[in-house]
Amino acid sequence: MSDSLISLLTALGDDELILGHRHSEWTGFAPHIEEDVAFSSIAQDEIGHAAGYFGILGTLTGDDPDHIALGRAPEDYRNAVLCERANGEWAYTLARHWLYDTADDLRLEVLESSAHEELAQLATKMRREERYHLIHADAWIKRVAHGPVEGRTRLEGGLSRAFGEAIGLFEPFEREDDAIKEGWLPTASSELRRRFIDRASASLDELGLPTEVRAGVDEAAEFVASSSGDLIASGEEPPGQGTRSTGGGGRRGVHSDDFRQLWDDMTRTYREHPGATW
Amino acid sequence: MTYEAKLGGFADHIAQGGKVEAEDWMPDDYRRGVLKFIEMHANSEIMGALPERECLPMAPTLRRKMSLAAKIQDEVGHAQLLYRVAEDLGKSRDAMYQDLVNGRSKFHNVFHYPVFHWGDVAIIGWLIDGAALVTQAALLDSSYAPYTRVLKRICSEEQLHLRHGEHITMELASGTQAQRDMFQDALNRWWLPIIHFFGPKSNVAKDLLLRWKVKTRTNEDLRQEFLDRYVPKVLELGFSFPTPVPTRAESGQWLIKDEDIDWDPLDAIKRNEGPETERRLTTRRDIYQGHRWVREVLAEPAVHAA
Repeated sequence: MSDSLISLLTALGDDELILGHRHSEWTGFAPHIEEDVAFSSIAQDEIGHAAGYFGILGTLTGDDPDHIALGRAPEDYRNAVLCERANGEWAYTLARHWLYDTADDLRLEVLESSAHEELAQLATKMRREERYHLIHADAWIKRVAHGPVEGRTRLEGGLSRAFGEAIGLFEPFEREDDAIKEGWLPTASSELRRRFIDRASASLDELGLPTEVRAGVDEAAEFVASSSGDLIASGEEPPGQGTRSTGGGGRRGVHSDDFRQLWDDMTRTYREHPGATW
Repeated sequence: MTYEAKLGGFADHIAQGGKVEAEDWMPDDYRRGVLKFIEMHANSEIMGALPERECLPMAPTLRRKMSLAAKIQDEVGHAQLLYRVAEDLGKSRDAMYQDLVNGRSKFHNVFHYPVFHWGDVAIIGWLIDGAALVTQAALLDSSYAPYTRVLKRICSEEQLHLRHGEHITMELASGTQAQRDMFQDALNRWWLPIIHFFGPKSNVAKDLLLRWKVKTRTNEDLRQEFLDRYVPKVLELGFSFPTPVPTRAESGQWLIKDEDIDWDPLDAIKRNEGPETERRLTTRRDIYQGHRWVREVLAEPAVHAA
């Protein structure tokens, strides 16, 4: 079928798989017992969503969904860098959870009218589950933002770290222009990015969180094609330098060191036993 | 009524198969014994999440990743139920948690051991959960009624875990040589700890929990049921046992000779000196201490502002 559809599904599935993997690392580790149970459900949902995307992908490419999930080289994953970051502390996890699910809701909303019927149906089904993730994330963010100073300060730190990279969720994927023309993705990433920044900013203002948490967001930056044909973000600085970042790279297969460690763990059993059934 | 009269009435009630509720009068040693027992069960569920969570990142398929996460989630949920039952006996969850992370209370021996690969997931899900189910099913008739009510739910979920463990075992047993080797390797390491799990022979005269019918069967009785149920299945799959090797008696029972069991590793665990005791307790302590700020957030009433 369409290469642009494959590219879209890979980006979507990888975001869910990699974030679901990170979320699942909190299983048995969450701040308290009730949250451990709740967050594990969210992790399981995200991994289930990845299985949904990879299921459709498999019908296009003939690949087994588990092979798509666990059998690729690191540079073949197209998740946004935000999803792969090590969990760090709970405040960062909360900030990322909230930013991601806010972004995902906007993305799923447009995918519900994708020209690819199966993808549109999957988006509707997932959005029902994601609604609860968003309620969970919103409740936490509100509680912490209105709570004691230490928690609020930690949350601000988490948001400062995560917000810039959340923009990377809207880095255009390969052949996005074609995907828009075909109607697989009804709304361009650049427009979704604008909606995301507006919505997240409005929520943070409502919570009275300082605008500095958005300091890492370069709203003017555009993702442009470089001379090599790769999409790069204008004004993007090398990782670890400066605080302004578009969080890009992931959609081109450029990942952080955190991803390498995650990939090693995640694919280990699958890699070490080629051809085995589990 | 005098204390002796109350005690006599309580003893008669228990002897006749009567049940005890949290608000009923009970002798202090009954309360202490039941609390300690349930607290250890709760601790074991929450500590039991740790070895399996170490295997979760390496799950070999998406389906296994989800099902193992769901299983660990159940264990954490069991801890929550059990801590609540224990709390009603007069110790706060926070106090129990602090005793746990500071090494002042106990958790089951099997969770003091390391995990290395997916074969460990099979052993934990099948044989360790199988052993736990034998002991927990025997407690369904315990004299402490609130415990039996949560055990009913726990046991039904554990049945599902057992099937999950059985499926993983079957996949390994019918898989490649490397997969079979994984299971055998895990069995070699886990067999002795599983035998220890049931504990040494019960001292019926001295065991308060047996006398008060909190426990209804002896350690050796439960171990025997486990051996008779699982040893033939393991052998049928073509795997072999390390020491202590079970042998078949004329009666058909699968026996392990007491002199074949090395109890030193269990004694070390009782002193909190198991192979992974310190690392796992440190992990739990770090999680607990590192999230003090979260507890402070939750201690404040939720504000529904803006």
